[in-house]
Amino acid sequence: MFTSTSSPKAILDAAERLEVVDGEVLMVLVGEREHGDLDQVTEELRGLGIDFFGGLFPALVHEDEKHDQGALLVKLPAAAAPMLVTGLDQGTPSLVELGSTVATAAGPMSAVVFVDGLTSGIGRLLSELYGQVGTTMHFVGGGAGSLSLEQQPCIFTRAGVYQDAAVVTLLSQQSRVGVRHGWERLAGPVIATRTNGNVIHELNWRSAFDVYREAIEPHTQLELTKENLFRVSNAFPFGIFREGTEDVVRDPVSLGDDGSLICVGEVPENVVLHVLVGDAGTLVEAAGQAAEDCCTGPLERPTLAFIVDCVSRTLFLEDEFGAELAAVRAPLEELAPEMPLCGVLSLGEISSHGEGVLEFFNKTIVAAVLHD
Amino acid sequence: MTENRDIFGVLDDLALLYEVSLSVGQSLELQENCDRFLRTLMSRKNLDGAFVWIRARGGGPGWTQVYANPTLRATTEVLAPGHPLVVRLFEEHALSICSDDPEFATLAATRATATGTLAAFQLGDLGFLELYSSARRTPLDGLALGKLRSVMEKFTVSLHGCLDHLRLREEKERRRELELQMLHAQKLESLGLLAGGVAHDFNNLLTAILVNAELLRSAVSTDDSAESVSQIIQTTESAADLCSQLLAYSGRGKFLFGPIDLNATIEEMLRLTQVTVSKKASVSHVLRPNLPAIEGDTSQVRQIVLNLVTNASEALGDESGTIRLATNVVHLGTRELAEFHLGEELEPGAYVCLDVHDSGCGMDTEALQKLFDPFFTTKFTGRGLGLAAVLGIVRGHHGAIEVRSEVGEGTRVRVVFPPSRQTAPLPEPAPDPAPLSAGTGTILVVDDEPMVRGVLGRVLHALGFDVLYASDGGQGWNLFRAHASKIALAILDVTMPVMDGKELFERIIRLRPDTRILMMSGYAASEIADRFRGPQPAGFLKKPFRADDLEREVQRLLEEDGVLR
Repeated sequence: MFTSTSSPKAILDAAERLEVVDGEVLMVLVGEREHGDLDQVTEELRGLGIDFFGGLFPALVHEDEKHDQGALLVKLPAAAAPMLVTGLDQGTPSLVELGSTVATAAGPMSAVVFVDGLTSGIGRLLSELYGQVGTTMHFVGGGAGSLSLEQQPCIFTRAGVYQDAAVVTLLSQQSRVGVRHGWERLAGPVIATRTNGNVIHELNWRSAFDVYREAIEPHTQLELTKENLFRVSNAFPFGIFREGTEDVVRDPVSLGDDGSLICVGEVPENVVLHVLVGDAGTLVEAAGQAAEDCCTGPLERPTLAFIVDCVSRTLFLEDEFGAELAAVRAPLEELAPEMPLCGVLSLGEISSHGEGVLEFFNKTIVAAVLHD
Repeated sequence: MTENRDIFGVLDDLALLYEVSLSVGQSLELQENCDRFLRTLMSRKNLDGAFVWIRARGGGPGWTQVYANPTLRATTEVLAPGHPLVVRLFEEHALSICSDDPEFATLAATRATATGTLAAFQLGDLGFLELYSSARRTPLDGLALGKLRSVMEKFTVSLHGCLDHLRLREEKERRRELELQMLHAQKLESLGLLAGGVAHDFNNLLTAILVNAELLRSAVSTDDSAESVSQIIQTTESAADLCSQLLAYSGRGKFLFGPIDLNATIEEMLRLTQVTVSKKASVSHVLRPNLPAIEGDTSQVRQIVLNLVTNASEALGDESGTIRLATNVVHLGTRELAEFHLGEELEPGAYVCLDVHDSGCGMDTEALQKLFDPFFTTKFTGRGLGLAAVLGIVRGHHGAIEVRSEVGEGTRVRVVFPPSRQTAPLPEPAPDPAPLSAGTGTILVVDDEPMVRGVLGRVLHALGFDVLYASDGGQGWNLFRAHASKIALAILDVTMPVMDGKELFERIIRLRPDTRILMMSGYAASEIADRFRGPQPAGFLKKPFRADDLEREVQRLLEEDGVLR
């Protein structure tokens, strides 16, 4: 259910109308613009005595429209209460409890993961998450937060609103997931010879910015500066090699004082990178392919299509973002015309390529279909 | 085009190998080293399982899994030495197989996926690595396996480094633990010496108070005065009990060693403790039939049982709970004995075990570490000597003690004793006390405590003896030489200045071997007996003693000589 404002009252009214019962959990997605007080939202929802989880995102997707304001409320079949993980910036979180919940649970499951997209330690969280539950279920999720890239409390559950946190919700439904981005290699390879979390200090033992500038300037006809980096780099992200699949994209979004490049998501030291490039055609086609990957083969009673699409794709695609949504919607409509489609525009996306380890992507679209 | 594709393929391979090989050996910690390498490998190769097996430690047969990702698929099973995967790997060094191959189920050691592909690599003589991919539907060919060979060799070297590091650390920890145990033992030993010294001096004082009070009781005329004297005697006896506990803690409180039936002692003590144990406690016992006897002092072993049952009862507090006592014969090796306090001093072998297990509040690590410290208590009351005394008694009995406890999970105490070479004797009924006879002759009393000399003199005079007094061994020796022919009995303190009781005893026996000599000490009879290698004293009195005890011992010794009629 979509509400055009995200005031606590509007969200409470919508939640009441949804009549969430035992065994269900309410997912609340809030658009960034003029959003309601999240503390008050959680306070009101707690009063209903239901389990809920959610996040604040740059924008929402409802059917074939993008909304940067309002809220989306979706009730989902829960396998367990949402699990809040805090202090992601402090070290590796313990997810042993989640591991034992999964080990003792009966029936197929899926998981939705929202994380503060601007926290450090997302890689550690996903490693630990995979370490505990492996390939027992599919994951879909992404990074919450503001497009201004200023960190703020953006993850919420009954326990409150948190920064440097994640929420993992186990659903008692299976899912089919597609992950694509459509970016292709332009230059490289270069080695990330010195990195720290999401900061690349050196590429090929030299200043990261110098190497990056030399790689892209011939293709931009522009002199790359600190001021125009965010705008220009939007079209030239990095790709991390992964055998048998598309490269994992890393988006350099700002420049450090020492010439380092600050990315959304971690860049492991010694990883080999390529500079990628894309155009509207390849991106839109990839988005459609991600949705098609969810629809291949027979599916028992598909109930919901959920997409997590990187907000930077909308900035890159601009007016053509509508084409991306249409490309996503087409195969899903063909699969189940009445199936609702909802989603978020995120700061990083979470899933795995096929059955492999969990990954935090940038500039990527993750599409999922929940089914029995 | 083909050339270009090859170049890109080679670049991808190089990229992968570059990053993966640099992720090896980043830590000396086994888990972290495996984690950094295998997470990188899994991420780049799009794998969904990695498991490392190494030879079972301690020289056992088979293979143990030391790393699992995801941990959900971890197994604690030990893989048999002749597992088909091991046999194949040690011939081929690396292999890959798909789930549609009938051999897949036989070879997959971890069985991480039902479908997909397994690749396995031998890690030198150390073990092997299993990698799983659910997505991959074709096995890795020789070329693909070969590309990873050098990385696997590097990984094997790094694992050796981790295992060496682990061994060194364990050795260091073991040494540190031993040092701590030794320091703790030294601390206890020092405290034991102090406690023993204090108890010894107090026993002298208490002897004087006790004997004087008994003499006074027979002299007072009013009921009120008699009551006061009785209270002095009672209080002095309580103080003597405390001294006894202190001596027990010092390990010098043993009295008479002999074979003891531990089962019988427990049954006896459980009858006695029925009144004192919490009414909400359900006390049960499982005593092993035909339990070998132990060598010890009955009263002190009783003290062990009493203290352990009392502690167990107090651990239950006001809650309902159970106290279980059991006896058994246990076979303890060096490793097991190292878990026991005092155990490192014992030889591996069979021991008689007393096991007291309660379901009470339990203790945290801090309390467990201080458990045997004298005056440490978790209670509001008590002197904190209960377990300290138990440790002292156990030490005196060449045994060992182990305490396991967790908060909220209760406490289990195991005390082990070496079995006696003799069988336990049936208890003999105590003889009825005979009436005392009147004495004649001279008794030499040698003690550096004037109070003790005084009270001995009063008792002996009352029995009809003449008494010669000396305040140290040298004086005693001079007196004995001067009056040797008329001294019927010499009563000597063991610890004295100038010349101690043992040397005086030896001189007297050399001069007149038939002299009856009664030794006195606050220490245990057996400890005193240990000091006399040749001729033994005719008798021993443990301080503090009552007038009755002195009278009976004197009577016994002199009756044998016909001095008493």
